[in-house]
Amino acid sequence: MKQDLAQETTLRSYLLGELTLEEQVLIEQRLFLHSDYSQLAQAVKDDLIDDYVHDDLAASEREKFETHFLGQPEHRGDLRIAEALEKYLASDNAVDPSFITNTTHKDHWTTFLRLTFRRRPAAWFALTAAVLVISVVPWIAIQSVRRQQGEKPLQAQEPRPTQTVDRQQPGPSVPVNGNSEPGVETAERQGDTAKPKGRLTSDRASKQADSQLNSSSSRSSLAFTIYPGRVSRSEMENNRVSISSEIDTVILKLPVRAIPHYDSYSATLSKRRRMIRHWPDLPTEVDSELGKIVKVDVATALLGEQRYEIKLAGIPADSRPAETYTFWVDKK
Amino acid sequence: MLDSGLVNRSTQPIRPSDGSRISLDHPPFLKQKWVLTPELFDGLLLWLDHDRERAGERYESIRSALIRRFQQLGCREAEELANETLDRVAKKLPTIVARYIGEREPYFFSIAYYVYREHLRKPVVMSLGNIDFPHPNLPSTQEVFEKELLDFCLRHCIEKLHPNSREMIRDYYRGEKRDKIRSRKRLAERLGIKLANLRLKAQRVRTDLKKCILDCMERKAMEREAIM
Repeated sequence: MKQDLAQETTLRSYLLGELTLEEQVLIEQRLFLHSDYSQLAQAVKDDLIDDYVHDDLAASEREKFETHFLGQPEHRGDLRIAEALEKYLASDNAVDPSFITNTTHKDHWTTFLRLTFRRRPAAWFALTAAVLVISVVPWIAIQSVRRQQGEKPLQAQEPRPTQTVDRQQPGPSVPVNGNSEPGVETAERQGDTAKPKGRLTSDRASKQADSQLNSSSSRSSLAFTIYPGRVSRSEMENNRVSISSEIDTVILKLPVRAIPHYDSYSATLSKRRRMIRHWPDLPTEVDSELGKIVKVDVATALLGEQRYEIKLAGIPADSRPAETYTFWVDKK
Repeated sequence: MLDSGLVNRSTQPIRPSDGSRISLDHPPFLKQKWVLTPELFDGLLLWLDHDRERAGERYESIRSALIRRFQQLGCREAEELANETLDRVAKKLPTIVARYIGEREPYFFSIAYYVYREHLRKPVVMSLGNIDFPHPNLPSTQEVFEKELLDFCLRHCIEKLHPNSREMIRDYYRGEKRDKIRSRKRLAERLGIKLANLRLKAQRVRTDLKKCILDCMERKAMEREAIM
């Protein structure tokens, strides 16, 4: 077992180009002479590609993967196939509920009910009786109270206040954590987030994601500062976006220090290098602490608990490289 | 990894993404086939051993081992592939002699590994995707075609898999992180095999899938070529 692990570690190092020429030669000799070893190498390669596709590589490994491993055309082909397979399985899972992991829990529950009632018919009667008692007793109690109060007509009752959410336009930003150290996000709460949660949820359910994206000004939002650079999950202590369920929109404040000489920018949000949304033209603003920034509003409906990247490019586009901002989303 | 010494085996003409043909006023000269000269062969023998007779024995022993292994791997042209390996080592010798300090034999087998992989490899139609386009957000027609072709072939090949293999691939790769680990454990229990064996099994199916996808893409690309 230990030997297998050591072999796999060596093979992984080999694939990432971390070995000396002599070590590489010995591995390639083994790969040529021993089919089992070659098969193990293939499995290690598949895992490495999957780790890359799922953003599970450390920054240094990621760099070696991109510069060394993907240097071989065959590996680039493998990566594309892996990405296509991952996308296919994700869509397949979404369509076919039998592929959702939690279905086994559901299966256990239905099996439990089926077996219980098949073996013990008395359980049916007990459950039915319990339901009747629970629903009838409160009804009888309410009726008796009404009778004692002299049977007032319904229309004579005081009108009850209905819960309405009086949405406010976002006022001035209020710092929540007030942390403005470089690399640490500052969260600012905008709008009235102290509204009843139930109503907020029903609001969300009744509107489409698009309208959420377009009407962010009348919703609860949080602002985060995201600093440029690529970081892996393990290093994602910075640029972490923590959002709770009542937040509809996150406002990402992107300082444009490296490419500041533009009036506007295009931004592309992606996860696992697949584009989710593109903003063709975003104006710049001047922040008292951060200097020149670009603000990007993202509906939380678009975000899951994972790593995202935003690429910012100046307009008009020129040969200067776009700036990449990486952040990790946590949902409370 | 080592440079295999081979530049490009693809015989497909590179065309602009709009499918038009390039006409050149001065077509490039055909690349001359590399031949093993007596000087290079002598250099190879000298690298194997300073004693020419012993060097000859070692050379023959390596050549026989290469042929045997290529035969084991099911290559009909085992002898040609062995010769190709020896030629490539001789060709690369001037560049590696100063920096390679290990045993000689493994180096031959290392090059043979590349020769074998190239022998197995089919022309990859996705080669144009490697070019850096100036606007990565705006995919070219060729890129869109390749992506659609890949998606089509993937679906086609997954459908062609044996139902058990299909189900296994779905179960093996589904979920993220802990979900994936749990799912794999359950799958291994269901199939009554160890986790390590399940991994190799999944890898075998994935290799078949990859082969099927590359075949399918090559076929479809050729069909498209014929139409255009």
